[in-house]
Amino acid sequence: MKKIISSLIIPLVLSFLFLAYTETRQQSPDSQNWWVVYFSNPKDESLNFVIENNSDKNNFHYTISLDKDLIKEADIEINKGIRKKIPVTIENSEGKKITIRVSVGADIKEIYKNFGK
Amino acid sequence: MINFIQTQLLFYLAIFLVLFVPGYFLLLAIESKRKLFSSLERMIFSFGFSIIIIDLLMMLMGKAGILFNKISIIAAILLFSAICYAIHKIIKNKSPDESEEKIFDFSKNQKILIIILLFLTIFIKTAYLKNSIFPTSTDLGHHMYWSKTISETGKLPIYQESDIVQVDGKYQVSQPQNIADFIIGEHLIFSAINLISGINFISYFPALILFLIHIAGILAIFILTLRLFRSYTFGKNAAILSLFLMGPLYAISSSQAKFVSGGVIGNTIGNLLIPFAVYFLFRALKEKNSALLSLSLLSALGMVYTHHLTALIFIFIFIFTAIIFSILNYDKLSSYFKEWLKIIFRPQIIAFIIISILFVFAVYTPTYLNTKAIGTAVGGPSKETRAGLTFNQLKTTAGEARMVFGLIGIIILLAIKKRKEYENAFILGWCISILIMSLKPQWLLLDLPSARIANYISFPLAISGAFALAYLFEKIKSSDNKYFLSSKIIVSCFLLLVSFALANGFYDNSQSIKAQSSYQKAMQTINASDYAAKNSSEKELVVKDHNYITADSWIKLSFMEGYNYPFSRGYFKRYEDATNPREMCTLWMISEPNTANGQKCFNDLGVNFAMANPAFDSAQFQKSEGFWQVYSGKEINIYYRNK
Repeated sequence: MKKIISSLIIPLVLSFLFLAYTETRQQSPDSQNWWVVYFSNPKDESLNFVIENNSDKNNFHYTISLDKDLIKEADIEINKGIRKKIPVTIENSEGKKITIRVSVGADIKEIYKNFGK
Repeated sequence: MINFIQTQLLFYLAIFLVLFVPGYFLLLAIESKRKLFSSLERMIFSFGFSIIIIDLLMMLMGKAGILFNKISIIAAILLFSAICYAIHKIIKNKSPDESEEKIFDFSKNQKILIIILLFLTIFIKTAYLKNSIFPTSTDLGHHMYWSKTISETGKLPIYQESDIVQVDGKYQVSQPQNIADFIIGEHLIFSAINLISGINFISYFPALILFLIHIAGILAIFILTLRLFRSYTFGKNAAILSLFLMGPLYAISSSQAKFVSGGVIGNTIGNLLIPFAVYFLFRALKEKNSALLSLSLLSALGMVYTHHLTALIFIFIFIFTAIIFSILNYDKLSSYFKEWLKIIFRPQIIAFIIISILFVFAVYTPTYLNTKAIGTAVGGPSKETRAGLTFNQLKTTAGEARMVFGLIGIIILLAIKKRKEYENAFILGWCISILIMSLKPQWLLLDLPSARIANYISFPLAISGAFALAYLFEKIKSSDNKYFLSSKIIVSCFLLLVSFALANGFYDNSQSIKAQSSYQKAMQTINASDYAAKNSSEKELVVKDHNYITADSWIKLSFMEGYNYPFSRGYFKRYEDATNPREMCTLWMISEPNTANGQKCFNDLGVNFAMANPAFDSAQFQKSEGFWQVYSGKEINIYYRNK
């Protein structure tokens, strides 16, 4: 009976260790390959934004447009696992739509606030 | 790595304390006078009864106003164990321990087979769980919300939810209403393990606990088969074959590993407790032992506090078994009846029943024990999905090979000389009750989802099928057989049948293996949820989509503001169900936020944030000037309504 119990417990413990390790690895920043962009404060009129990089790419490019006019663009290097806050100050934005478009390679994401309403 | 090792050590310590110690000491007290179980049985029962005892202890603590925390739970476990140990010491029989029973003496070949089957069972399920261990399933998310609530508040949860209602033409959030869908026993063990180990709910831990329960359920079938057919010369082979039919074959299908990753907690615990209850009831009747009957009743009480469907199914198994046994033994029924009364009318059984009733009504009444919930389960099928499965559907659920062998087993059990014995009545009652409940629920006036009932058929069919296989080969190979088959033909037949089972069972496994894990999508959901939770407030509520967001039911764990919060756009067909009209705001706010209906919902309810998958639900927000896109990801966008 001891052999049977051992043959049950040993693979079960090994399985648990393997699955726990797998899931822990899946949660770790090293195993991610995605990035997001968001406003630091989504509710007020501030335009500071954050690029949170959990991908293997580092060289981001962003543009800031006032309605359809490009008013600023820049390159920024953000390493994997880093959240980079980018301060933005724009004057005369009242009544206009401010769009922040962030790209890395062909992958583009944008956020915007519309003060036209 | 050090953090991982530390978390692991605490996790296993918590499992040992919560899911082994209380049950072990309970059995120690029960076995004070006479050894009743083998070491394998004791290990499995210690685990199963620990689940029940932890539930009961925490319910008592909750009723007494003791807050749940690491110290109080460990103290409760130690106090209970100390009491059991004291009982054991006081009434311990001084005669030396009997050696392990002979039914657990396996030959070398049998041991090798058992070890291989156990290894294969664990290996296949692990291979499947590798890509689904990350917590993404909807059901598990719902359950872990309640477990986290218990851990955070330190109290028993009040199962309530607020919904969107329309009052005097205005939409508003209703007062919390009771929910009958959740049962306390599905959540307490997870809270206890979280409180003791500190492990995060959004991790591998809930699925691993379910995996453990599931493996214990398979082993419970193995030892039950061994006990049921111990009087047969092929009893041990039947038990090994039950392990074969329950373990590696159809290892991933519903009620197996899919229920583990899917977070179907009630069913998984139910699949452990039904074999327990049958095992103890069978042995209590066979050995005329009241202590074993009390353990059967404790298993049934565990079902009452864990899963109403399981409890109901057990009632039907019991009724069918009683009817079948009575029909088969009608000539001796009065003498059996006297025997049963002797077992039942013992002080410990009467006391147990009284305490259980008091517990249910004075300490904690299960949420489903109300007229409305009971009314929805009986009265005959109200929907097509409750009108019974076709035989083909049931065969798919059970697994073709298991179904074939199981049905052959039923025929053999009805035909053999020993058909009047308890073991036959139990297996026949178990199989036939679930077959009728799944195929023809209207005969029993049931109004329950037939597919869910059908998930319970695997276990009895595995036992019945294992019996059939073992019986047939025993008959054919026995020296007095009249079929005159050579050993080569016998071996060929056996290999053919096993090959059929293997091919069918492993084909099913191969169809269910997930190619890829969706953990990265789920991680993005968690990231967006944390953002929404940080920026929203009581006056600026959140709505999200259920259809296209991965792991969306876990979003509520970032908020912890209510079971139904953030509000959720459910499956589209639910909004079209004429028999069950529901609020439309969640649909309108995501699908058509710019329409008058959508805007009214946003305004009336104070919802200002919407979470949706950009691939499916971005255009309607982006073309509106009233919404700002404030969070942008591949899997989730968040929109803020600028009033």
